[in-house]
Amino acid sequence: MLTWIALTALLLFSLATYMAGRRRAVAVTAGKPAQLHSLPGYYGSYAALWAGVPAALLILLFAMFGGRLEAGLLRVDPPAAVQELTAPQQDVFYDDARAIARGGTPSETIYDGALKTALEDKAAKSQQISSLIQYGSIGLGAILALAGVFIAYPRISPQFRARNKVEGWVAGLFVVCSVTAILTTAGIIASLVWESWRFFQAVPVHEFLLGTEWNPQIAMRADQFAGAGAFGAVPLFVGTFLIMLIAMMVAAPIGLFSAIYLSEYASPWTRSVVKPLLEILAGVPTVVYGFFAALTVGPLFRSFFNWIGAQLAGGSFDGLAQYLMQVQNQMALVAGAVMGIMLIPFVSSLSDDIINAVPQSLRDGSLAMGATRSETVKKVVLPAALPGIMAALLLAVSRAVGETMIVTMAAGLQARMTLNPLDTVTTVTVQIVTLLTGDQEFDSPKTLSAFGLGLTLFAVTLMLNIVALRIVRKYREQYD
Amino acid sequence: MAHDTATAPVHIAVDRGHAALPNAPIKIRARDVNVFYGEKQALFDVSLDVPENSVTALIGPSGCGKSTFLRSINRMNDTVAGCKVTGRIELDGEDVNDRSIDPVVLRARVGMVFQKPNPFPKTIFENVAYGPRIHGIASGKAELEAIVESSLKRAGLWTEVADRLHQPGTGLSGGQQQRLVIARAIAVSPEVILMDEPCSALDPIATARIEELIDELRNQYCIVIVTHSMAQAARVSQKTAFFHLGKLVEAGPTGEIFTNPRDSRTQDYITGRFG
Repeated sequence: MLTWIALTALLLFSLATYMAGRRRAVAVTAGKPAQLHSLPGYYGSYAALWAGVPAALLILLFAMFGGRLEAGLLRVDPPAAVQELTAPQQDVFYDDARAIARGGTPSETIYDGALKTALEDKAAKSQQISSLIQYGSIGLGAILALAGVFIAYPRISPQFRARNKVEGWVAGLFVVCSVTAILTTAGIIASLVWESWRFFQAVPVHEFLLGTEWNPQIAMRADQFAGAGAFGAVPLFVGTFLIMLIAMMVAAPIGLFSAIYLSEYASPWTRSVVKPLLEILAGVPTVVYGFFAALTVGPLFRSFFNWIGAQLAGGSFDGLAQYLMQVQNQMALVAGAVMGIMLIPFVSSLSDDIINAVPQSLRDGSLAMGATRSETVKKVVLPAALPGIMAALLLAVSRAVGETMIVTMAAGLQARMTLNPLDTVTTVTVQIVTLLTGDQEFDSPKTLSAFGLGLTLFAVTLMLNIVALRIVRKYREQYD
Repeated sequence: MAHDTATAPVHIAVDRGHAALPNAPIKIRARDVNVFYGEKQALFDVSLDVPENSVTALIGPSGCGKSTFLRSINRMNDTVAGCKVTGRIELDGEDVNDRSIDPVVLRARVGMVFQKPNPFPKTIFENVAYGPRIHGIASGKAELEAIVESSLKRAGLWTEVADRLHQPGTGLSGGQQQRLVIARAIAVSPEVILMDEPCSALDPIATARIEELIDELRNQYCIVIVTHSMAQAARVSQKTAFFHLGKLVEAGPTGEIFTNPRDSRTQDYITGRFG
């Protein structure tokens, strides 16, 4: 609370500094602001930045790490009674002292005698230290703000290049933002690699990548160790591949043909209606597609195949009939088909952009030769757009491989080595979800295998994206 | 007569091939052609005769409608949404806008070369073979190769590309690309070739090469060329039509237009007073 008040006060102080800096800039030119190197506002901003930014950073740092600092300081000079405790007991003791200081609920540990006095003593001390840190940080902030003003204010003169300085601050802000994104990504990769490395210490890489049996043990007890050979991820890769294949068989032709229709045949009016509609389809949350797959498409497909089975029963295909009559709601075909529908707008929107990027002069050239519109599309436009379309399809594949919700709801959980679209299969993403949801111990190979799967998935999609983006870039250069 | 340097070369070049004009049969006859882009009228009552086996130049300031007129001859304006053409444009006495005329067939008879070279992203061979293939002209591989070779020869490109027919057409220089596109156009043996500022994207040497080529092609084809360069019109054409603000101001033998224009606007334009 106090921190927020301090920050608000600092903001107001910066604003005042801005006004003062601006006024001084005008004043030093004796009423001829055109003599200034920069516009007066830049001098104001320069002073305000010096006044506000260092102080604000300091206050925020203390707000973020003040608690840790306090916990550390509290342990200085421990009472004799506390020194006799074991390390975990000491941790509990200090946590309780801090909880009492904050008016929170301490643990149920009973302290008596010297410990009780020490606890009350430390609780009082905790309160002291934390208010010292808080007021101290605000006081330091105030000093920094004033120091900032004293640094910036005297520099204001007509020769001073305030604009360049302010732009330097802004450029710094941009750098910080972009570095944040990069560092976060690097952190994600590092954690993936680190956890996977731990997993691969328990299960050899070749066993994971080439093994054909997937049956991770549930670590019920601490001494239980997952059996060897249960971490072969090939069935998951096969399941992922199968569903991706089905999805692309749906999405590639429909998406591509609708893109061709939209960019080459549709009237501007149709285009202006249909394109946004397709893009709405892209905005449907995947969990909704999941419902649709599990509750609508699944039962529909099942009853269809059951019906076919019933028609064939007793005939020369009786084996097949028996199989068809036992088909379940969950199957690769359902998940793949619905995922394909999800990918249609993705494919069509990307391909449409790419087809539109083919220069009109090529179409004119072909039409002027006496080619029909369809010949022009087949022989000139599509070949010219082909690299870009390939890239769009690769991006769609990478989305299909990484898609989770639809497969979780519609594909099943059984890891099977099968290319039969009517079987239940499971994918890499589904396994990651099931391995990591609920209470899990993070040191069993079972849980860690999720990171191994995650790393593999990441490597595959990263490669697909790199290849796709390279193709797109190469293609773009051709026509610019 | 006092000439400034800008108009001097015009007079040196006007005589070439001029004698062929007066008795040549009419290939294209346009009567009262109006073109509208949506609400905006781009051409007003244009009537023009284009003679066979000659080069007719359409000149005029930017936006005067000369390209619009050119594009209505092979009905390329059909591809522009909201474009409407009225009046008659006859090719050998047949109205090109008649319902019985298939624009696909018409465009096989009337080839077109654009401002910017637009070779397809295919090999040189495939670029030239494109038209013969879609129209089923060649009966076999050998005949197709013969057509490609003769087209490239007539376009003056054969010696430069004979050893790299199977490399991409987009890898050629700008002037070579434009000659490739001309070869592509003549590969389907059109009767008319329309050229929309074919040299505006080229350097002077490539331009001279294309102009020579146009002069050679004149013997076999009826050529209509839109150009911004009056010197070019004077060099390559036998007939010149001057457009201004969507109207045909004056048309006649190139020599007459450049030496003795009847209309003061033509006079002003060719002497560089506006445009």
